[in-house]
Amino acid sequence: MKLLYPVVRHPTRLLLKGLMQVRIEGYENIPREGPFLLLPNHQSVLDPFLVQGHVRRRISSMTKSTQFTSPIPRWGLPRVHGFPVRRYRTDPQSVRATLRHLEEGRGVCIYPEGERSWDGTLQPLRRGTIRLMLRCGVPVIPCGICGTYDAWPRWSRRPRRARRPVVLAFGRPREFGPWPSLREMDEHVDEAMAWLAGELRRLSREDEDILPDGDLPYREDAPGVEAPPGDRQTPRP
Amino acid sequence: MALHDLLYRCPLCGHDPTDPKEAGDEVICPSCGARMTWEADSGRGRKRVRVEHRFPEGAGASVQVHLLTDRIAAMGGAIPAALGPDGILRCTDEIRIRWVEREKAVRYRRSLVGFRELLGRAGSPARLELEGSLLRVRPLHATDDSAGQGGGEPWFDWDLADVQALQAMTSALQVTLSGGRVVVLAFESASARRWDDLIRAALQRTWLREGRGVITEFQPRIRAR
Repeated sequence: MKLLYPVVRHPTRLLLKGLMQVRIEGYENIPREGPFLLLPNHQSVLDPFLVQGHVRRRISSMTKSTQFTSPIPRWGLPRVHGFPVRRYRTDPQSVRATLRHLEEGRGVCIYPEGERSWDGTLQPLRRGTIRLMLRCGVPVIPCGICGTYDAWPRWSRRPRRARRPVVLAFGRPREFGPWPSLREMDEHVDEAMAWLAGELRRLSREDEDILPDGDLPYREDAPGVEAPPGDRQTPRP
Repeated sequence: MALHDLLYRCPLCGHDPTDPKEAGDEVICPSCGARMTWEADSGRGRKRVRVEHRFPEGAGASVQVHLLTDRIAAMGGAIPAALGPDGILRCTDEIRIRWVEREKAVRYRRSLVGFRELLGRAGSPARLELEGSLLRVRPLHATDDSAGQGGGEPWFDWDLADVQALQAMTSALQVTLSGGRVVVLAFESASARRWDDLIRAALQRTWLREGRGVITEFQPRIRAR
């Protein structure tokens, strides 16, 4: 029994209240019992506190292994069901840990972008996470987070008070599989990725949030505008 | 960590690099004088940056940050400033490197939770150089004895063809080399995102040249189609 989890959850919620007003939507989509996979978009370092602070069920969270470097997080994270993932290589242990937590009937939270967004928009989703989502055979709940980027963007050293409410929206659960073979499962990766990206964009209000560009005097002769096609970077979605 | 990490290039005139300001929430373009200031939730929508510009006229506008980053990406990101007349990407910046020395099991109540990396001590300041498909780390002061190898000899030469993964952290990059060795390149003042864009572009070019396809994912391992 991990006692630290309930002890930490309430003060975390109170601390977040001081920084932001939180609105929860679709909470009824979180199952009352049984395993589930929660897949939120990742805008800010505040997201894990927001998610685990506001979901009443205990959630195990896949956490980047660098968080386990300092002694206090290394001591505390396993006590609040955090488990590490090495991002610089494929990490089968993190997959095993996810499956074990699910087998124990818990919810597992994974950020499918694999890192925080630099500009608040959804980053490309990791194929490995999508394959895991297809493989695990439990309800998959997309979760849109909107507004934490304004409270603490990735490039900023300090948080600031968000004036508009932060929205935590849980989507309808969807189950995938079972698959007759891994090959058949792999054929559905692109489709599942498109579904999840669409849900995350919708739930995080990314499309509603986009306002017109305004009237900026972009210079057409700016260097690089005529860059060769091979060097033209695709805007990050 | 500052707004400069994100807007490392002026989205208006394309000048690279921009000047970071002490406060961290402001960037100024030394070429066109545009001033970009983070507006934390001004009530006009989210994720907005106030852009004040001097040309051709007008006081400025408030735009969403991703429109500026999209613009930077459409201009080629960090590539034009690094692209030499011979078509080779060149860039240099100050870094400190740390190696992942080994991995250690994370346990809770005797059960294995996962693994974490153990980082070695940060090296003395060094210079990271990108030249074509080569990443080099050289001592910052070639005559400095503390630099290990004097005479400007590179400490490390890495062929991008051997890079297995590239992971951007907020002010550093994690590069997985052949054999699974992992090095962390921590930038002293340069934007890690700028270097991420640049090394990604150099990796793309290297893989295309070698006929290994178009890279679709850079981490946890490079995957191409």
